[in-house]
Amino acid sequence: MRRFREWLLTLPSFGWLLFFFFIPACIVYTFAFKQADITGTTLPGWSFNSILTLFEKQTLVLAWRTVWLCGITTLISIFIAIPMSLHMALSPPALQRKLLLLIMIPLWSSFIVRIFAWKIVLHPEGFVKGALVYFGLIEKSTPLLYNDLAILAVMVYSYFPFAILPLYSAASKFDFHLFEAAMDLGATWQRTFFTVYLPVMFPAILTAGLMVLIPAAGAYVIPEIVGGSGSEMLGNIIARRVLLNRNLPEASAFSLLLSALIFVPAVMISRWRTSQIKRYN
Amino acid sequence: MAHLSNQEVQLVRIFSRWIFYTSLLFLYLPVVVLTVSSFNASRFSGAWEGFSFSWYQKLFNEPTIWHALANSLLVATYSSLLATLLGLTSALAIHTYSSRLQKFHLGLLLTPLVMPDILMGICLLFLFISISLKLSLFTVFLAHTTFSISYVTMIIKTRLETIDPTILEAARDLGASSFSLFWKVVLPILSPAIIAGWLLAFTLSLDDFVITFFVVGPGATTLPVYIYSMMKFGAPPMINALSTLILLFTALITIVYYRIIEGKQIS
Amino acid sequence: MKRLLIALSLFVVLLIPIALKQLFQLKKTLYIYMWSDYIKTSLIKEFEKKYNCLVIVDTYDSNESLLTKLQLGGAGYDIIFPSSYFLEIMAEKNLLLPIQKEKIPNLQYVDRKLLTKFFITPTRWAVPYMVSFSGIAWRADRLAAPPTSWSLFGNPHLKGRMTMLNDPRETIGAALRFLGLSANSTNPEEIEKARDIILAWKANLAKLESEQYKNGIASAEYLAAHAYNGDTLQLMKESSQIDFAYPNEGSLVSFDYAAILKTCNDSDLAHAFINFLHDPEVAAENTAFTMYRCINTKSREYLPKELQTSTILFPEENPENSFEAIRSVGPALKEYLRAWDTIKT
Repeated sequence: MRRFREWLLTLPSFGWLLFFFFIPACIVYTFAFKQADITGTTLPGWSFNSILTLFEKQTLVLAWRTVWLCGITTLISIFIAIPMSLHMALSPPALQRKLLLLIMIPLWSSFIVRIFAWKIVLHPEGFVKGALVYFGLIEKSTPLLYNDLAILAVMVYSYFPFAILPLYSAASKFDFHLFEAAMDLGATWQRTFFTVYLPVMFPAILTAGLMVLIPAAGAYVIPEIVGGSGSEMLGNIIARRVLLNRNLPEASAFSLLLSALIFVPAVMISRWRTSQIKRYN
Repeated sequence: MAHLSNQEVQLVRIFSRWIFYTSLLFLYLPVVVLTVSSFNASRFSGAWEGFSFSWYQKLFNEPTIWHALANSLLVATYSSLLATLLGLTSALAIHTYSSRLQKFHLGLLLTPLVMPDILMGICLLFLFISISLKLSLFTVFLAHTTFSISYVTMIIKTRLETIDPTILEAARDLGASSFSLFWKVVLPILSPAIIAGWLLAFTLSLDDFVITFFVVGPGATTLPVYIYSMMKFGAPPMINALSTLILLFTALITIVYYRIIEGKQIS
Repeated sequence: MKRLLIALSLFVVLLIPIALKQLFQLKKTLYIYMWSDYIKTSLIKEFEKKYNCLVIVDTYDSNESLLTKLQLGGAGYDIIFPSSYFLEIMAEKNLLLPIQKEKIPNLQYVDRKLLTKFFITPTRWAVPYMVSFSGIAWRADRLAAPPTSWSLFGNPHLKGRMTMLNDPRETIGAALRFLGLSANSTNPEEIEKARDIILAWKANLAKLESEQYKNGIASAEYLAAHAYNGDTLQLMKESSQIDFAYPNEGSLVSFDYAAILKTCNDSDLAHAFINFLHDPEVAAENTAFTMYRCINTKSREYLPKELQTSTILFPEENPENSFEAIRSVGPALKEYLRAWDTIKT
């Protein structure tokens, strides 16, 4: 009877995800072992040719660009999110809720529209550019848009709120009396911060990192809108292989690559995180 | 809870507060820009050409936008409801039972969370091609439900883990059946999490672009997809006007919701 | 909790009429898949009233994504507007319904001379609809002199303020014309040479953009753009600072056709729509609004005076301009796409 109950409860979600997620994922990954002709039909039979196209110089350039853009986005996001979550946790409870709201509200205007708004912000004849030139920080001819830096700025903008949530959740559970205790024992606040606060927050930091890394790695709209012709990421080439080249097997091959790039750090991070939690419990 | 007296520590507070408000400014900059430009009489966002409500007027006369909004709301409502239901059952299953089946079940639920939008979009597209299902609003609904389930599960599961098992034991000792245990004890405790999960699924569906883009069919355009095509061709200020409205609306609803919650907590 | 359930069910109930409307479209419906800004909305309403039907228009941004959506089961559309060089592939893949000439009496007005001039052969799969010429849109208030050559894109003074089209055939084609070669070349070496030209120009380009350049030029974000004449004429309606030029080395022309998909439910209605588009007055009204030239001889008479003699709209009449029509290159498309990959990375 218990087994039956378990199956009854499990089957709806299990069945749904099996059919709509697991099996399609398998289909996509097996498509990588097929080949397509120029008109877009996938040829019957198996072949390694589509995977071999990954070993061209361009793939390396794209993959590297994706990796470093995502890495830096994640680092910057965490750098911003840690003090932000600290501030929120140190605030009185009523204010905390308001601060959380303040952060969440912009996320409710359409994602697409906010990205397009950045085109206005970084306009070559706009306010921001004017101010930067006035203060001598950049040349008049330096473009603010359509390069890697623009993508970085917009990615950080889009994803750092996701880093705040797990960090805030952990920070609000942190016992700040530990701070007092450590400093009563003679430690400076810098030492306390790095040897007491950060290690306890470490699992949350890793989760926050993942929450930024995953959407960033698959970013396709951001590079397309604010990136230049030389700033494509892996997401763009996957979209292009589907929509322009109509080459589904090659799209799958690139999907394999992207998944590997995400999966490896994700697994490493979650293993590390579990070991950190075990250490502190 | 956070009472720091040491003077050096105040530096930490000041530093983190400074970062907080600067970042908040950064967060709101594009929002302000798009709100302001929605009142810009000029069609193209370079120069300011005077204050005007014309874009809001044009917005109300554009039937395709409302059609897209209707599609978005329709899909968001049904997919979030279904996703919440499936998320609830899956969270209960994983929490209550600990068999190999559940381990696989959990893996199945976690994987969509680590999959970028574009990969999910492709997977769903390939699936619909393989089973020869015509792309339509229905396929969008299926897609949205699929990616939302995991989020709802995680939210409910986290809440479930914080329920004190001794309460459940006590209720059982007093003779409650499993069903009434669930209905009268667990469910009320879970209700904030269920609502939070549902709200998240609704928001994710409403704002989804990439996945919808890949699986949308004729006449099934949702608002983000429509905005994307409009941004590329049409009048951006009209879209800015729409976004400003959406923003105001959601801000209003959230504030009202929080007022109610706060009211409940005080009483 | 109870109140919540009531609120929730109210919300769901409110949405039921919308759901029902979706499920039970009472009027017969025509689904059209076309380029954006390609038809005047009031004309659609006119057709809807005349034939008591509903017309739903979805848009795509490239021939390739059109074909992809169709191939991947995006059927459900009745009429599409592919470019001429895509018709061959679509017919091959059995996607189209042959046109029944007797249902389109306005076919008599189709400008056959224009098509023969560019060696476009008649086809039974589609009806010629609009023609667009590509060239350079530029801001007269920023550029010292009108551009006369594609080499404008190699000018480092305009670095970061120019764009080229995000279309492999158009952009590589422009480079091929710049080199004095055919834009329909199937020679891999020639395509590679063109690719290298674009790679050299890339340093000066902000990005490759097929739609957003309109906003960019209007807001002075871009000072010059590889553009379509129709798009630019739309801009010029609103700003006198914008002009359009055809480079000396020659440019490209593409013909868009109206085709009916095999999966069309009501082929009579679809034919009627195409016939409606070619009604000379309708075509003229459409051209005056979208600034795209309809391939319809009689419609020219109904155009506003300044458009009838526009050298931008009718550039082939100026012997100084030379154009090449984009044609299918068959399997050599692979070379173009490979070059495009390098350009886009």
